[in-house]
Amino acid sequence: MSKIYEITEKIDRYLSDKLSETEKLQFEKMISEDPGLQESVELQREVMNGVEGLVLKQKVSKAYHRFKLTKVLIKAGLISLGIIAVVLAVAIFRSSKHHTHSSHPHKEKVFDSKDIKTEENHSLPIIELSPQEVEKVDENIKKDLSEAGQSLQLQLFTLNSEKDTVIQTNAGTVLSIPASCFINENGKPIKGEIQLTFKEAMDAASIMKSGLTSTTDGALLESAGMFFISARHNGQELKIDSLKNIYAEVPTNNKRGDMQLFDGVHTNDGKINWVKPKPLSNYLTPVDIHSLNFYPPAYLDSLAKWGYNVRDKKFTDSLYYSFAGLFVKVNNLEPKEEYVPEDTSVARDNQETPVYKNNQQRSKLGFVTNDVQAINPGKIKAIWNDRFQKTLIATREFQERIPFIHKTCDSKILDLYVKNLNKPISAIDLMAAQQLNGELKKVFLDFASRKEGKVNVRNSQMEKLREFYSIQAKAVSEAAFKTEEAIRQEQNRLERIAQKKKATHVSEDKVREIMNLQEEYDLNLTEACRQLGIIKPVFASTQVYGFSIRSNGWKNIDRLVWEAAVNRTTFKYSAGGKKAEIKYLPFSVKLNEYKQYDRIYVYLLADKLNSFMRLQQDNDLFKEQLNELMKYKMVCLGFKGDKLYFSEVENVESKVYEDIILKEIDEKILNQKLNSLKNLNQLEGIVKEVDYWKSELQEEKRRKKERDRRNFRVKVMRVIFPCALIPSDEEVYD
Amino acid sequence: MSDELIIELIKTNKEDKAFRALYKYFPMIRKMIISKGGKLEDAEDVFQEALIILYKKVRYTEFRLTAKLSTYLYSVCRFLWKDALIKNGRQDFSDMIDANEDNEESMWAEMKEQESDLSTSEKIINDLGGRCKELLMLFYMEAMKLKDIASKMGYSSENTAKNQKYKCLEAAKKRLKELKKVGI
Repeated sequence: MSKIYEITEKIDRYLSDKLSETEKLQFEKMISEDPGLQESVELQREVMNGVEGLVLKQKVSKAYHRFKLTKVLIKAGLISLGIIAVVLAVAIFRSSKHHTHSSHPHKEKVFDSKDIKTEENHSLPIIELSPQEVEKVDENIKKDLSEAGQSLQLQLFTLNSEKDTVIQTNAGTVLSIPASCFINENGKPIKGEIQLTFKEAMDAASIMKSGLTSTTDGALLESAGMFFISARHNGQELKIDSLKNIYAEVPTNNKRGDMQLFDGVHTNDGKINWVKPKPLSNYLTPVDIHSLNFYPPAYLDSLAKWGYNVRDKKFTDSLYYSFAGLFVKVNNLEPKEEYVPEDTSVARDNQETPVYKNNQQRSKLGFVTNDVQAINPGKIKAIWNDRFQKTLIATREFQERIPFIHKTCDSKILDLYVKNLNKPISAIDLMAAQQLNGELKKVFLDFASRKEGKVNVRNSQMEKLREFYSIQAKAVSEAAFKTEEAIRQEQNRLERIAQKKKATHVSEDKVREIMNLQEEYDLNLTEACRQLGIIKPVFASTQVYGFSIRSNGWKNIDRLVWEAAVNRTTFKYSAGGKKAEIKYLPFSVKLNEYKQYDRIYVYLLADKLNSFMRLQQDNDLFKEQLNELMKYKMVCLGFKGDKLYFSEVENVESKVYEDIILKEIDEKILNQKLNSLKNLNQLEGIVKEVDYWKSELQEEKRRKKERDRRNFRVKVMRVIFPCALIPSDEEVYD
Repeated sequence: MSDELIIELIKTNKEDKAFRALYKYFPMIRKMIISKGGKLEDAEDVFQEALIILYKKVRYTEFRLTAKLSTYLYSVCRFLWKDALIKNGRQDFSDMIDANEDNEESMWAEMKEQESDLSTSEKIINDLGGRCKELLMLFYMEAMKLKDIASKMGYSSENTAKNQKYKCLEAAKKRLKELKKVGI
């Protein structure tokens, strides 16, 4: 091992060219002499090449995704960028609107810092500095003045003025520039290429390094970032058409609603004063609604934790929406026949039978009534729909609120957002806050304080969407309810069949016991009479129940024999010097491996009885008393999964059998074995018995599956309906 | 970014940047491939393969730029696409591509041979599972130190990482050997 290890290491170093010249020569010699080593080197080389290939593919496709992203950005008329959280506050220092510049022959020259400096000096007149004052500014001050913002990296973009363009800058600012947005000094839109100069200081460090300050008339501003934007066409400074806006999104980690946009003007001490604050136009940007997540907060995480594939949207959807059935109003339901199976003693303790309860339960649970404390998944399905694309619902802002809407457990809060699509989302936040208390009220007030805007929706469209919302939610609920009903009814049907079978089996058991008893009693009595030398009374054998005892002499024998047969105890009787004795001898089977089987049964087939006896089980012990008048054959049957196990003993003796080992047996072979039974009644009985246990095991599986399904649903419900009182078991549905 | 700079980036392990820059040629390639019966996805595949070929050419051969990089990529992509067309029996389009105008056909055949071998070992590494794959990638391609790999991937010590690397490598070799025996 360690030798191979060392060789592998050496090959590694050889292939990565890390051996010294002498080592390399030595090693190459070794390789040429040892075909095994040579092969190993080749294999390792290929593996390394494979690694390289994989990495390269990864890198190339990463590059492609970047390429695509940029593409999308440039193509899209509106911005949709995953990482961007939208504007905090933006301070703009824009160069003069009136400024006309002497021609600049070269682009490089145009964006030379000197030029920009000059411009900004020129821009002073529009901001409260009189021309005279400007003239007073001496050259030195001019120089200082240029310092603010000059150290920032210049970003240049060239764009086609006739197309909508989206630009993402180095710091993540996104600019959406509509076509013909720039005009020249005559107010005419520019055609052709436009050079855009952009500088940004988006975090505290770069703001300070660049020497920019954020004060307005001496008062300090809290800045979320500053940028400078300037556009030129053939060196000519351009204005922005007042009818068209450049829309900017500035990335931020904590958004605040009270940020405003300031224009920056240079003061003569080299700083920038920020003036003319304007509230940020706060349009929300719809994104693809299917890229958003409207599930209750812990839903996907919990499913993942339980080992389900949460990427399978079909699965997560159908599971989540299936709970919409709980929101069907109870009075819409026709009373359903419910089957409540009796708690049969045959079922073992650990196999609880699902117990169906009647409809009354439903309303008692607080579910399915009108004041359900949960958001109807049907409503979520209604809004998570293409129809709500390009509305308030399809925004990241709404997605941010959804977990809290789920937490309110109040469908009315959700309704507020869906029914006020044309209002700013912050206004709806406020409406929601008014209906709430405590922590959640605070959350929604916080949302409201961000003053986030809206998505324009036509009134007619909004009406349609409202209608769709209520109809769809109801339809989803009803469909889900019907599905669950169908499952439940099918389960009820199967349960009824199973119960019927079980009842039949139980009664057959009883009949068999009686028959056995009667036959055995008859046999015992005959024997007793033989021993006593008297003639067996006729009446005893005809009927077990209700036979009358007519004579003194017989009565005792009868009763004693009867009791012996019932209790399976040894019978002794003496009358007139004669003795009668019928012996019962103890017999038992100990099956140590009984726990390995789903079910295990031990049967005794007596030669003089028409049927078989199933032995009572006490853990690993099966006990019975053998009647010495009969010969017994023992059959053990084990069930495990779909498999059958079998063992048989002829001529059972009175002892403890401990060495019985069951062997797996094919059903056909088992049937052949059983068919060899001479007594046809016994044969029929035991075949029936085997069939019954098989179906019973099937049933058990079905029940377990259904129980698991219901338990799973309860588990999920606890996650998705945090406020609802979820009953502990199946009661939710039944 | 100039062609020389891109080549330099590849040579100095900064292929990420180089690839990104090279993507400016993608629209041109896409146009060519779509005009010759391909789809957007075909263009993506072909272009990505061409980038990898360029990378290997630069790293492992005495690659001298005799034409513009764009020209080089264009001809490589044309080869690749012609190849794919022939493989799929699309004579109609493959005839449209005249492969003779470049004298690099021989380098081409050689390149292809290597490629098919590679995909086997790539598949094997993929099958080793995410941990092994990541470990090998970090070690061989990112030239990360075992110590850093250990801390990045949560191995208790440098030695554990080293051992693990050895195990992954041996497993891959073993599997490759088996496959070779079967003749795949």
